[in-house]
Amino acid sequence: MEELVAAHADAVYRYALRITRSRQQAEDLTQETLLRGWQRRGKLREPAAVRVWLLRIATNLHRDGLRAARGDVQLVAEATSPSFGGGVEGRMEQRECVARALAALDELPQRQRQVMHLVTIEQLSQETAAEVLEISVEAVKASLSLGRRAMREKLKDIYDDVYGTRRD
Amino acid sequence: MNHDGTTNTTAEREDASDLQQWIDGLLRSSDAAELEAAPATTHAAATSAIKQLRRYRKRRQALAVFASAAAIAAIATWFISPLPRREGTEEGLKTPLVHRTPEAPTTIENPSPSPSLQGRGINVVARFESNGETIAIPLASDDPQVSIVQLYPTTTTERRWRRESTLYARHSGQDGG
Repeated sequence: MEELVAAHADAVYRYALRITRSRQQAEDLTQETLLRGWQRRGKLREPAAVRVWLLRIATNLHRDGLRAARGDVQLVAEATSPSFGGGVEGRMEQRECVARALAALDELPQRQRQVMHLVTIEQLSQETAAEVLEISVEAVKASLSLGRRAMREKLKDIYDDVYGTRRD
Repeated sequence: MNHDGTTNTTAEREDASDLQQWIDGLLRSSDAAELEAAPATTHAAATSAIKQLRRYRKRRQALAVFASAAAIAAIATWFISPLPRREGTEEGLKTPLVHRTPEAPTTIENPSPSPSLQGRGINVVARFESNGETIAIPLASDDPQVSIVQLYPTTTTERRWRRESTLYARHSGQDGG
């Protein structure tokens, strides 16, 4: 039981954070997901796929609106938004780029955000992502394409700044 | 012209591919995982909730086992007990019954001992009190301390027993038996 929580709590929390965009709601959704997963662990057909199974539970719980009643609207982007003051280098620069990328990801529409998270961060296949979200693979491909394009547009300036600076 | 256009398009694609790889790398980085790591309270709360649920389930299971054992014990006691059963049940049909009525009790004593027992010097004695619902026929017994009586219901009693048996069977079926 503790192994289940320890091994997958972070993945579930990150996914919950992505779809709720609120730390408080993400914590609630994570706890609810892990508890539901433990209650229904007998229905898990493939123990190796427990992470995907938990992500699907989180998706369904969120979809069912169990968390919708909460009024916390604090965006992750606000909590992690970088302060690009210029002149920062090395690790700080990297962390700021990461924070900016996460913020850009959180600005995407819900479906694109979910697909981007599952495929890019969780590194699931498009077929598995489609299974988690209970949508078609074609829909996953379309959302992924749109999401990636939007991300590139949002982050191109930073990319050019970073690599332009390094080249100089 | 065409050559330049193709070169530009290829270069743009390469740039886009590099940019996308950079973005994917940022999102998959350990820095990103750190920024979005689950708080320790989440681990603790989830573990605590699961432990509570597990304790509750264990208590419920223990209670169910105890209730089942108690039910089995009650049923076993009911079957083993020498007390007379309710009239109309299967056990009731097999068990000798004594119907007591204050008015006009009927007493039967040793009406027809078996000839074989008479030869062995065994005295068969039976005593009955009847209210007219049963017909009692004493039978021979190998033990002088034991009396055996064969009971036959009268027409009225048999009809009542059948009705009660039917009701019992119907309710047993409804309970999932």
